[in-house]
Amino acid sequence: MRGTAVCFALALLAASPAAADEAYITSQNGDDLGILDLTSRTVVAHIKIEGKPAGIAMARDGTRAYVTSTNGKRITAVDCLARKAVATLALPDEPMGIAVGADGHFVYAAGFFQGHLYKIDAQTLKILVDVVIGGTPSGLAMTPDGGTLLVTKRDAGELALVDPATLGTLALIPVGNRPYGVIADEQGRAYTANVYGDDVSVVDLAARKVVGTVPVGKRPYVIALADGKGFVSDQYEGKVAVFDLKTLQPIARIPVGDYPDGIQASFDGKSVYAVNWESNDLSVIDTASLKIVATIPVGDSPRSFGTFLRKTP
Amino acid sequence: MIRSLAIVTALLSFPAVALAQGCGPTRLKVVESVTLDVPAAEAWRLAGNFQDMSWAKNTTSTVGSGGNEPEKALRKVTLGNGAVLEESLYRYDAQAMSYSYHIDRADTVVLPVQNASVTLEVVPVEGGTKSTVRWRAAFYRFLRPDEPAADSADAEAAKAVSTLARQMLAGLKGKMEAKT
Repeated sequence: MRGTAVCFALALLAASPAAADEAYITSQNGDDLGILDLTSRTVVAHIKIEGKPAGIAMARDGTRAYVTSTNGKRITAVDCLARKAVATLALPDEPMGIAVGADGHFVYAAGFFQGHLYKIDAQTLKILVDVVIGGTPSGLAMTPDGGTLLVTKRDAGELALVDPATLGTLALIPVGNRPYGVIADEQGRAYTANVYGDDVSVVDLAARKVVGTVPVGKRPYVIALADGKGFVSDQYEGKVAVFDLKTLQPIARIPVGDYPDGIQASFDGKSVYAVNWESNDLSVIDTASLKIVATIPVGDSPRSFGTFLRKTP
Repeated sequence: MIRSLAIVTALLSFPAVALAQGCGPTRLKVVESVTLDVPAAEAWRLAGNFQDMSWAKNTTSTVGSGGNEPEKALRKVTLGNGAVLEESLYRYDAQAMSYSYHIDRADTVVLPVQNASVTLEVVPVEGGTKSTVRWRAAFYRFLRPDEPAADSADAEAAKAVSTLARQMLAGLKGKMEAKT
């Protein structure tokens, strides 16, 4: 009898998967952060974020998300367990790109117009270091080992490698025309989406130079990496361009929603999520078949520029 | 008198600039549409030629080259108020009855925007007996040194784009109804 009950409980446990991973969707014209359950594929919560939220960085342990509000000139820290905003930092400038350090203790953000780069205490949201990096800093990303902060300087056409401790610039690498989104892989490479160049620059971080350029569609914006492939949101084509990370050759162009913006690979690498700014939805791409397996409605003018996926325990 | 002169001078000294200049981080969206009492194919015959904006009520001339060929086709559209829009086609899909273009230059007094892209599309509605023409734009407010609060500058830019689109589409409706 008792054995049956245990078996039943185990069966229940097996049947109900661990809480589903989530996508945090910043709706820039909706002043909203929507939380999307990726298993049920529905928006399960909304958090009001003032000031046109756009950029987002998710702590690696999924406890906190940090959101930039452009017009509102602020950063909001969100407690992902309580699903509420817990702190804000007012800045003198409009922030866009944002990243979290590997251990979750520090947040990095840049002022778009005045070109300051900030190192911020993740708990108190106090600015710890403030330097001028210039060149319209746009996309921020941390390397997987947490050792280097990557910053695209849009108007300078450069990728800056920055010391996350001091914010000292370690190297400035000329990349394509108007680099915006940036991501680093586990093999020591970084990739920038060059909005006006219609291509992706592939950077060897140790050698500190561009080792390849991949042509993609018109107005590429953000890059995701999964299953040995790069996935690039092409805004003017309403497509995601796929290329091979080894050969750097184009593989496919997948029609998604209109004006795709933020894009990120799932933690198991089986899916890529593209956030479509104009059509107000999210496309789910199967990274093996390169087919769209779902399209999920979200809030108005979604961007989720940065790391927006949350791994749930 | 002196005051109005100062305003005129300020307006005159405000140059039309290339819209490809760096824009801000807040992207704006305007979608306007009109439903016509004709099937989509008929609406597309009138609205689907990039070189012909005579259907838009608020334009006085369209001069261009390159037909409907993406990355080649250009047009210069003069509005009723004298403002000129220089536009380039980057996507044309006759089957989907949709085309997209970039506004390369505009008089920022009339259209205070940067980096604007527009998609015009015709969609069949009501079982194909009618059609909806949608005009949707992605753009950024024109950045100026004396910018007021960002939100009000955004609102001003969106209003100007919205007004332009509505006037154009109203012309389309008028032209279609005159024909039928």
